Order: sequence, then structure tokens, then C-alpha cells
Amino acid sequence: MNLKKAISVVMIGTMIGTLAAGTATTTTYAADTIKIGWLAPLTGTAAENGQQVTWAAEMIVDLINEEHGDINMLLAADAGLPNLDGAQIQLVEADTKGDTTVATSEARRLISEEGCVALTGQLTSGMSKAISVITEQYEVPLVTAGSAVTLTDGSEDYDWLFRYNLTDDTYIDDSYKLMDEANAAGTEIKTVAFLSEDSEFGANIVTVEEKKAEEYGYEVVENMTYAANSTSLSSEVIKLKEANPDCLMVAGYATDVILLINTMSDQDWFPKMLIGQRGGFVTADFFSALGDKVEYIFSTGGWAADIQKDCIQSLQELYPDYSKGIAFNEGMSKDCADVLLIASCINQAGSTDSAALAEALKAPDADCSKIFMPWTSIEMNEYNQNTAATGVVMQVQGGEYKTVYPEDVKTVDAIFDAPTWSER
Amino acid sequence: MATLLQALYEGIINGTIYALIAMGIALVWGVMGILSFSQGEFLMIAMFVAYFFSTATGLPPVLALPLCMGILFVLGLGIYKTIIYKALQGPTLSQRLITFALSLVLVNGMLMLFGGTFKTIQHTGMEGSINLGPLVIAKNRIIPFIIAVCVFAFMLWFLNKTRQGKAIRATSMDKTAAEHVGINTEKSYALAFGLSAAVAGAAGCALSYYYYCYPSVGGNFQLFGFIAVVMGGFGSVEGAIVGGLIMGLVDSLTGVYFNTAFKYLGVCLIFMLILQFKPKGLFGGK
Amino acid sequence: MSKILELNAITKKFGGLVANENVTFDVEQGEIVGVVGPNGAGKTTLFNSISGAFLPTSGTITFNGQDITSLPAHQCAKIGIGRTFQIPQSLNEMTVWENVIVGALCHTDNMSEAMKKVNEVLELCGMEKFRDMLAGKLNVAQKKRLEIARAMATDPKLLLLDETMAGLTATERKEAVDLIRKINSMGVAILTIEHNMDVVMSVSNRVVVLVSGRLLMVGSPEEVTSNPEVISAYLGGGSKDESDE
Repeated sequence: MNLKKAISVVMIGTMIGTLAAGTATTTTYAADTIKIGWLAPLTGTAAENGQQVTWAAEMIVDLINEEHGDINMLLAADAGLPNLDGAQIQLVEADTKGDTTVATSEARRLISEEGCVALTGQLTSGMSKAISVITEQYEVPLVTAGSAVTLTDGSEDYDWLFRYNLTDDTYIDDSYKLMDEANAAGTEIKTVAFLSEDSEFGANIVTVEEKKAEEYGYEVVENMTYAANSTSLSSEVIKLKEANPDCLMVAGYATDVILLINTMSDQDWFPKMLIGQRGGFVTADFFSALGDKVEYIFSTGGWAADIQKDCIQSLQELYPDYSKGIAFNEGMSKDCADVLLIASCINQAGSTDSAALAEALKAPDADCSKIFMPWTSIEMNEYNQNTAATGVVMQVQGGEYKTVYPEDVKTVDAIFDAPTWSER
Repeated sequence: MATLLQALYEGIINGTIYALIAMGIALVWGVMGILSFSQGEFLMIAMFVAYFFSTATGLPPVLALPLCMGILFVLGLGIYKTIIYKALQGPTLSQRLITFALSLVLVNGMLMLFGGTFKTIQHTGMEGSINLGPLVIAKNRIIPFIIAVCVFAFMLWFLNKTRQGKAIRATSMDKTAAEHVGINTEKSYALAFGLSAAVAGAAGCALSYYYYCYPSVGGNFQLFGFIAVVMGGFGSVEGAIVGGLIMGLVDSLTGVYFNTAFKYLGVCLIFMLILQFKPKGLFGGK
Repeated sequence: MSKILELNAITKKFGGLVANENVTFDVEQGEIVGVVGPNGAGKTTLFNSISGAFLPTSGTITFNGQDITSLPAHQCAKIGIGRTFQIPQSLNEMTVWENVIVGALCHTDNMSEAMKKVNEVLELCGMEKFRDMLAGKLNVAQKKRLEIARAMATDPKLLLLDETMAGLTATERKEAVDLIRKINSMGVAILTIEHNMDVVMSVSNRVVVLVSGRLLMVGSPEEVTSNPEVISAYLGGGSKDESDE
């Protein structure tokens, strides 16, 4: 009995001790290395894309840490952060495995054990919400490019969540405005249908799509959600074919988008306009898996390859070295821009103190001509959303995305009435 | 009407893949009482084989079918002789779970070897579709269907008309009785496991015509396969085939006529209904 | 006459429990030997050791001069040992003829050869009228005959019958005894566990008595039934009355 008691006391003591050690935030780390936590799916169904975006983030960190006088990007010219005596950024990577539970525990580890001063990554809206529980608790900034409106509309109480990229509000506005342009150009677009995956991303975007359909005066003929990683999308396509919308808006991740387009090709149906809402539409897999079936598909985006800023060209030249040949794309641009902004704000704050960093993140003093996103300025509102972020709509023409909207940024005209499968 | 026809057609086509997975699960369960959680992974490996074969030679994936089934059969035998055989000597719980562990190893192994990109075969030699009245039949679903039907026919013939097949069925009904009439039940076990892997291999070859290939692809199909097996009656290969087809139909019809968001709900409801009236599944069983 | 089966000091232990201890006896070619003893005497366990289902803890078993002590069941079946079970273990989801063909396929790959054997055996056992019936639907007597048929399809030289008469009516018993005699006349040696002393007396050439795992005696039916030790250990329970329904 005595031995048993002794053992249980030791065990309980050890558990309490570990808990205590775990919750203490370590603030001591090497004075010349600043850690930024990076969370992405490195295994699991989204691994391929997650890995590619991670390489992009690594590239940005290398450019910050090394001296690159020839690249016209923020922090590239000097080695490290100039205001902190050349302090180096260390990107501490963690695998979310595409699972919010894993992501949450990894976030905690990055903050409490690794001492990361801010977190970002390749995060879906759902992931961002899950991780924010940790970042709000530890009062560490989380910068995300997940597009769900609810992340920064005040409906939730986030003090430490920052978003520099667009929300679905803007993306959907752009989509409907493009449809207006189609009508103006002579292609009749009256009906619209929505096909969305059923997690945070899809669920939120549908609310925005429905609301704005009314505002812009389009008739919604079909509104479907589907479970991600379905074994089959045949019934969805059958229904779409029956409803025959002029424009179809799709919100989904790579696996399902690939299956969808293939199924549409099998059942010989394609709408006049198909607007993808980023996600799977802006991954490298989209192109490699579907070959020429991707032609004529639109996607909203926060970035385009043909925007005229020289740092964009530089990145496009450098990235293939990190990715064994894959090209820099819209999907990764937003996430690694977040890394750049965090580094820039640390530099601006002159310290890694959370409060100082948060202040800088709320009002970044950054030269937008040296950021590889289309923004001309950054204006953060009271919910930490950049209201000055602008987006584009692209269309696959000739096997790659070309910017077709808005008028002042586009490089080619949109082709509004897509030919049927047999006509191609 | 066109919609109904298309929905029925799509349901059956998708159902054949579930049926192939289900057959493997049913066979293994019937013969050795092990739940095969790794059928999906066998399917996945075969998809990779078909993908590499087709990409390297430019030939249609169906020609990789013997390769897919052969490799998976040998793999199945190997796995039986090394892992399963040992597990059968241990506690029941580890027997039930061993294939689950195996599936994790296979998924992550393939991920390490080949990465997570989604690979699809670009030129299957079957592009476009045929219009049969109101029905649109995609050409790249015809061959998979034929593959599935051939495998069904082969398995039913093998199990019922050949000596080894009868030996396997006898072993699954009563191992001791089978041994006492000269049946080497160890051989039956190994053969059954190898065959179940080969059948999943055929499913993988078929699926490579229109689905994307990546290490975790087996998961969802596996799940449907399980439900199909329970619906059809555990241990019954015929039941598994019927169960798989029903799954495909329910999936398709629920999606088209109710709500695509409730597809899985529809499947589960039908599943529960069947078990209400026939607790041992449609074809009885163990 | 040479011996078809020789048991030498067979002992079988399950952990601490000794089911058979030092059992030694033979069976001659073409003999019918009855095995009797109270419940729990280790009779079925002995059969299991002979048929290869169990590995004896010690001792040797020789079949036609070949040491089969550690031979597994399916190989014992192949060299000519057939067996039925106390509770019939038919392949319930197969028909009668399919059950039998499984046995017939023991020695041949050829389906038509096997079918011929099936027909022979079904006729021998009087089961032709049931050939397409599902084994699971047969009654007890029919299942027992099916077991015998299935075992006979493997061309055994020694047939182990485990309580064939249990649960049968008087008529069914007579039919079973006739079948056993017919099989024996074909040259098959028979070892039969039996509680019904009438049957044992009328059918066996010799009788083996097992009590508490040990061999009490071996002798002719008359010797055994008049032996005082046997009577007190076993027959005192009035088995003659037990045998009728």
C-alpha cells in the first residue's frame, strides 16, 4: 500500500511539474535569432501544396536573412533585420497534418517551447480559428490569409489575429462584378449556382455568395455543399447539369476540384463561366492533374503572376530552385507575404515584445512597392483587417492564369462564353 | 427521366469500386476473422502501379491490370506470412487491429517514397463520352466497369467451382472440419489474404481511369467498403458485391434527389434499415 | 494382420490438467475397436491427438508404420485417417454434395473424378436424396451421416467415429450400425467412441476402456463388460437405460 501511494504521488507530481513547465512562456532565446512559427500541412491530403508553400516561406526568410541588394523587396537589401542589428529570422516549421487538433497542440508548442514571437502558415480559415484559441490565450500575434469573413468581422473576439489579405467579401464582389462585365460584353449571365465544401471555408463563403447574389441581381438556381475528399461527385454534377446555371462558383480544395472537373468532363457539361474561389484552383496540382481541362476556368485571387512589380519577377525566378521546378503561384503568395510582413513589423517595432509587435502589426509602415502583392497601401481597421487589399480575377488561357479583372490591372480580355467540352 | 437514368448509372459504376473493396474485406473476415483495414491501401498501391505503368509506357491502364493484381497478390501473401500469421497467434484485439496498423505504415511509406502530389493519368486512351439516348456514358468509366465485372465473375467462379476455392470456403465455414478432410487451412488463409489484396488491386487499376492517385486515397473507399460488407452480411462475398452496388446507388440517388450534403446520411440510414430487418446483413453470414 | 494404428504411452496435458495419461493400445487392419468410458475420460482428446488436431505432450502414434505424432490434421487426413465429430461440424452454407466433394478433393484436382466419388459415397451412405439440400437444414441423424460421407470421400483407411449414436432413434441407430458394418467390410478400420453398450457389444471386435485419462483395460466386449473394475468405474451408472430416448 505504501509503495503504491508513493508511486502515485511521484506520478502526479511529475504530471503537475510537466504542466507547469509547459505553460510557462519562455522568453529567453539567442539574442540574434528571432523565431516565427510556421504551421502547414506537411503530411496528409493537402501535403503537396503545404510543402510548396513552405518552400516559398523559406525562400522569403532566406531573402530577409541574406544580403540581396539586387532584389527590390522589403528587408532583402540588408542581412537580417536592420533595426535589430541584423538579427536573423528563424522559421520554425510544424506539421498540422491537416488536422485542427494537431495544429492546436503544435501552435502551443511553437509558442511555449520554441519561443516563437508570432505564428503564421498555410492555414485554412478553419485552422486559423482553431489556432487562434492558443494565440489569444498566450497573447501572441497570428497572421492568416484564410479568407472567411468571420475572422475579422467582429463577430468573434480576436485581439491577436491579423489579416493583410482579402476577405471573401471582396473576392465575391469581384466575382459578381466580373459577371456584370460578361453581361456588358454580350454574354448573357443570369443564373448562378454554388458548389462548396463543407468546412469553415466553404460554409462561410456560401453566406457571402448568397447575400451578394441578391444585391447584384442574379438568380440562384442551385446551392450545394459536399463533403471534402468525396469518393464521387457524380450526383453533384448530375444536379448541376439539370439546373444548368450560366455561372458556377466553386469553393473547394485541390482533391475535390480535380475530381469535379474530371466528372464534369465525363458527364459532358461545363457552364458559360466557372469561377473558382482560390483554394484548389490556385495550386500546382490543379494544372498538373487536369492538363488542358483547366482552360477557360476563372479564379479570384489575391495575386497574379503578371502584375508589374519587379520583386514579383525576382521571386518567380528564384522560387523554382526551392521547389524543384514548380512555379510560384497565387496560393503561396499570400502566406509568404504574411511572413514578410511579420518580419517587417518586428523590424518596425525594434523589438520582439508582444505589445510592441502588435502595435506595429496594426499600423505597418511598409513600402508597398517592395511587397510582391498587388496592394498599393495597407490600412488596418479596428478588427485588424487590411481594408486596402485589392484582388484580381484570373482566367486560364493558354495553360496559365492571366489577369482579366479589374480593368486597370488586367493583361488580357476575359473569354466569357466557354466552349463545351466537345467544342474544344 | 434523364436525370434518374444518369443517377442510377453513376450509382452502379461507383458501386462496383465499393464492391471490389468490400469483397476483399468479406473474404478475409469470412476465412480468418480479421478485419481488413488495409484494403484501401492495397487499392492505393495498385493505383500507383497503374499510374507509373501508364505514364512510362503510354499504354492504357487496363493493360496494367495483371501487373496490379499480381503485385498485390504477392504483397498480400507476403503480408499474411509475416504479419497476419503472427497476429493470429496472439490476442483477438491485436488480430482485429493489425491491419489498421498496416494501413498506416503503407500510407506513410508511399508518402515517403512518392510524395503527396495528386497523380492522374493523362491519356487513358478513353477520352470523351458516348450518348446513349439521354444517358451520357463517359468512356473512361466503361473499362473500369468491365474490369470490376470480370473480377466479380472470376472470384465467384473461383470460390465456387475450383478446388482451392472450395477449400477456402470450407475453411471459412469450419476450420477444424476442413482440416480433417485434408485441407491445408494455412494455405487457404494465405491464399484468401493474397486474393483479397489482388481484388483491391483490380479496384485500384480501375479507379486510376478517373480518380486521382495519392497516398491517402484509400481511406474513403475503405469506409464505404466496410459498410457494404456489413450490409451484405459479413463473410459473404456475394453479399459484399450486392452491398457495394447498393452503396453506390444510395450515394448517387440521395445526392441527386435529396441533398448532396446528406449523401452519407442517406447511406447510413439505409444501412441501419437493412440491419433492422436483417441483422446479419442481406445474405446472412457470421 | 498388421497394425494400422499404434498408440504408445500417449499423454496429453493442458497446463496442469492431465487429459490423457500413458495410453497404449493398437488397432489391427480392418478391426472395429470401441472406445468407452465415463464423461470426461479423455476419449475425444485422444481422438484429437490421433487425428492431428492436437499435439500429444508425450508418447508416439504410428499409422501404418509411419510416425504421425506431430503430423498436422490435414496431412493425417491425406494419409488415410478420417474423422467425425461428437457434434456434427457440417459446412452449413454448402449443399450436401458440396460438403462431400470437399472431402473428395482431398486426393484429386479433377472435378469430374471428384464428382464420381461424391456419387459413390452418397449412395454408400444413403444420402442421394439430400444431395442438393443445404447442410444446415439437415436433422441430426442426417448431419451425422453427412459427416461420415464426407470423411469416406477422403478414402480413409482408419475412420474415427465420435459418438455417432448419440441423439438417434432406434431406427436411426440400426441404420447407422449397418453403415458402419458396410464401411468396415470395405476394409476400413474403425475406432468408435460410444456410450451405447448395445451398439459397442454388437459392433466391436475389441473394446478399449478409458477412465480419468488412463487406459483401464483392453479386451473383447464380453471380457470388458464382465470385468468388475470396469463395472464399478463405469457401468454402475446403468448405461443400458441411458441409451434409449
